[in-house]
Amino acid sequence: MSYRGIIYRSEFVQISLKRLAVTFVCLVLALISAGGQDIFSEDTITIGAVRVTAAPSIRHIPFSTEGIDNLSLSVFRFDDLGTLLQASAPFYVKETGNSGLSSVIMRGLSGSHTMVLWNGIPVTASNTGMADFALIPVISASSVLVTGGGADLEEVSGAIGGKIELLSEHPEKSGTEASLSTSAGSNDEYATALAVRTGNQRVSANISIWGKKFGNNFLFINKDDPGGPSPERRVNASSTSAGILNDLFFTGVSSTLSLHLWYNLSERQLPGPVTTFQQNFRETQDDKSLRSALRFKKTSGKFSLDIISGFTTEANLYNNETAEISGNNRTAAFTFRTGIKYRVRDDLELGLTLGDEYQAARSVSYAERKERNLFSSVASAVYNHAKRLRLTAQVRQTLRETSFVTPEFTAGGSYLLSGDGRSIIRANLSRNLKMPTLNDLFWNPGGTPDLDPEISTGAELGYSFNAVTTSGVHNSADITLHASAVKDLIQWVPGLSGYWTAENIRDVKVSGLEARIRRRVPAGTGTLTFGSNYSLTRSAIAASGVLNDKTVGKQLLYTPVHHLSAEVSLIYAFLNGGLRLVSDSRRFTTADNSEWLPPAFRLNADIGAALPVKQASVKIELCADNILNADWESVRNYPMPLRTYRIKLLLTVSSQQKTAKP
Amino acid sequence: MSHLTGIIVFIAIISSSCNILKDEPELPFPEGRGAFILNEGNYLAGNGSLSFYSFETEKIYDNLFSARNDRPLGDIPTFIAVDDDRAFIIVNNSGTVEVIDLITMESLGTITGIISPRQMVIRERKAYVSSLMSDLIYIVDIDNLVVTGTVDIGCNSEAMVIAGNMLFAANWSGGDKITVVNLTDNTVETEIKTGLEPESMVLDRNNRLWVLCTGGYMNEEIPRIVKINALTMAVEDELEFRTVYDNPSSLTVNGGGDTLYYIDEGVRRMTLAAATLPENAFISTGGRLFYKLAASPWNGMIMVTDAIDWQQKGDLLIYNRNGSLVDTEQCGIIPGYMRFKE
Repeated sequence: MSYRGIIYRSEFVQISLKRLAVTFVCLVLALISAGGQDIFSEDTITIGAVRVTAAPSIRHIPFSTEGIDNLSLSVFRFDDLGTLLQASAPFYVKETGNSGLSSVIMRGLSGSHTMVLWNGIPVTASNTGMADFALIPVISASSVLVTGGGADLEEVSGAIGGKIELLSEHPEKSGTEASLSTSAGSNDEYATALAVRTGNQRVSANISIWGKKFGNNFLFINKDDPGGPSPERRVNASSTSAGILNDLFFTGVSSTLSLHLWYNLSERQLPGPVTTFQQNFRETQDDKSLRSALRFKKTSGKFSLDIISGFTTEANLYNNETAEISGNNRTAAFTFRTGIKYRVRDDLELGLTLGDEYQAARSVSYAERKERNLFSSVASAVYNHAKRLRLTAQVRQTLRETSFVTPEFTAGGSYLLSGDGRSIIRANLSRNLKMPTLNDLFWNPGGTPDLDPEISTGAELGYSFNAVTTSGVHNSADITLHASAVKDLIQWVPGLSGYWTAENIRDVKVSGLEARIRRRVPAGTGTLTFGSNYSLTRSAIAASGVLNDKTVGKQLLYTPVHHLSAEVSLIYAFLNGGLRLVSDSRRFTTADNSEWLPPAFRLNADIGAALPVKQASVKIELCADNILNADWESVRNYPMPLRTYRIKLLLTVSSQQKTAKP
Repeated sequence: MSHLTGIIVFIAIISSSCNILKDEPELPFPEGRGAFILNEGNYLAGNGSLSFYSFETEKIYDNLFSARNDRPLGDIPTFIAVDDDRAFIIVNNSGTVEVIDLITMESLGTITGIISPRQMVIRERKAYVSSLMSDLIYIVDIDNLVVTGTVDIGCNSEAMVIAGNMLFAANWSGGDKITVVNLTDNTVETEIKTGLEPESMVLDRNNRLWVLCTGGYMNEEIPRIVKINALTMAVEDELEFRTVYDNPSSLTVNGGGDTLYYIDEGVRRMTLAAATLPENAFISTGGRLFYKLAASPWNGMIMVTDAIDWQQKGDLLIYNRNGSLVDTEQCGIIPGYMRFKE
């Protein structure tokens, strides 16, 4: 197909996606309406029959925070965090090829604007400001929370795109459970994992070990071949990875002490772009990381205390054999945060959080070892009025080395539209910052030590619905409207000196909508689940310090206006199956929006069976990814696989019994 | 009946005319003088493109290669060499040399097997291709479009000039020398020490090589222009710039071979006899960031490209012989190398 053909086709699909967006919003409203009718049309059903199942703490906070559901965590157990989020959250994940560098675009801003935390400590590398989602296996967390925007000021430092929290949680059951899982798939993909959880209400432990080997020599269509489009196999794209994770929990009457350790390593070949022919620069990248976190939580009377301490060290070894270039980048970070909350009255709680983040990095691109210290204090207040209105205020002041930066604030609230808690509206206003990365400050040449933080000022308005009908149907929906203005965006631009420099050079305006809907219907001995996530994001340059800049008013690179994911899954007796789609509208690849990747659409399917055998269970699952054989790219010239298959086997042996969650 | 015959004849004539028109290739740009501009495109994006600026229409014509051949030109096109009615376009990061018909833009072939090609010079039926990431200069048979040999010069290479029987190759990236290859037997004849990173190089009408050295990516030393006798290989002069922070580039020579131009906070012009570098810019930047420069061989026009922030379409600026701006045109992304066409 010619390039013009692709453009025409993409415009057509673009129009279709807009219709899809309208349809989606209508569907959300219809679902909300249907859920409401189900409750109120049956007069004999008392309000007490309605059970609100979502965690109130998440739904009541005035931010757009959502937990990834357990079904998705189970389905994507062998995948990386990027794959999980792409399918289970309303955000676009940018992947430099299959298993390549992966980052999430939240609220229209690049990956360095998203904070990733593991048990309270940052996983984002202090030199790049980014976390490589391809290196974070889903198995490393028992729950994942995603917050859009930077309004939540609880952490030591902020991120204006959003926050992703990986959490290891205390097991809900006493006893011992061991699970051994293994999978094999197309293109020489093999993975295995062993997880053992044991303990009781007082003491529990979890240890997980995993490994993955991936040939990644998948088939793709080279559209730029001078001889015409031709099928080729990807070369220099293999990877191996392994990790071990250990959690220990000590639970007292009113306190919990937890210790978490995580060692991760990966060796990846980095395939080159496919421009005319497939490139192979014989590039490789090895990554190693060691992370540890210690967390102590205690509640005593009107006081509650939360202390987090953690240390991370990462090494990134890059080699380009063709260009004879090698890189050795190492970072370390120490995080300490202590928060205390005091309930002044039944309706008022005050909090103070003090935190410190020490970052150090060494690189061949730095003149010397570089370090930075960020100290912040957060004062907060939460006021509950008449059990329906909950107001939250936060102020954060950060000390960057020896100078204070602009104070940050958030003021927000939530209101229960109905006394049963089914419907909640929430809103916030905030101004928050994102610090320059160490590369922005110290890269030699071009780093600018006196860069200002990027400042985002914005607002959110959200609606959340969550209810279970008497027939057991669970409906939930969340819609968030957001708008923000980002000033002093840091970008690397060419300078008179002959090399690029980091500058606070542009302003950006971001606005959009994020929506999630979910409906779970009992079906005989099984459950039918429908879920969908959608985001509409307009993220455009508002002002620029670049002379003759033609990008003002243009959408930021690789930020699709529309992102949609949806799933239908059925568990019936011992069988389960599901269909999952992910779709993105066109993504601009040049800053003036003159070129773009066409819309991408992938459909995945899985079918499985779970066979209980006494205290054990055996689960087998067959998966087909990209079943429509869509030819697509996430990053230009880095093709993604056509249809692939996987088979998974999970053996679980358990002596656990459910106990109350501490 | 006669009416019917007339109609049939008329239809036949029209149909035949249509066929004639259909067979006539539609030219992608006007005939006459102009200049090709290679737009490098974004690194790894493979969106390099070819434009043509017509001095006849004073307009620019974009995407010539992709429009004719239904595929992009590739990743970082850096140089055009011409052999009669064929153009050899070096596409650096795609590792290819695209051969096209200079008039129709139709692809005539793609030369592969070259690591990081940069520039090309043609002598008789052979072409020599420099390489950024290897120590080889590739020898290409331009009739059969295949690599037939290499010369190991022990370092990477960028700009090249042929003078007499010698090929001069500048060791730009991290280097500080010119390697001289004897084309009789394709062996290294000698090496000439220059300043750090010889970025561009031209031959004047007196057989003198002028080599612009940037002083290194990290501003290690003061940039300079080195004058070398191409016959004796002797360094005859070195003209230093002001400070280590100067960032000169794109040394070029006019058609008569008697005036040099280069970018240094604007465009500077100097004669071959100048004992020092010019103090003032011949063309000021006007706040722009000049990227590449070319001097017309016939009408004294100077063309300069502005890549803006290297993430969007850049501009082509055309100045007359007096240095006055006469036209500004939008090109593709990162407009770079320019080659004039009669």
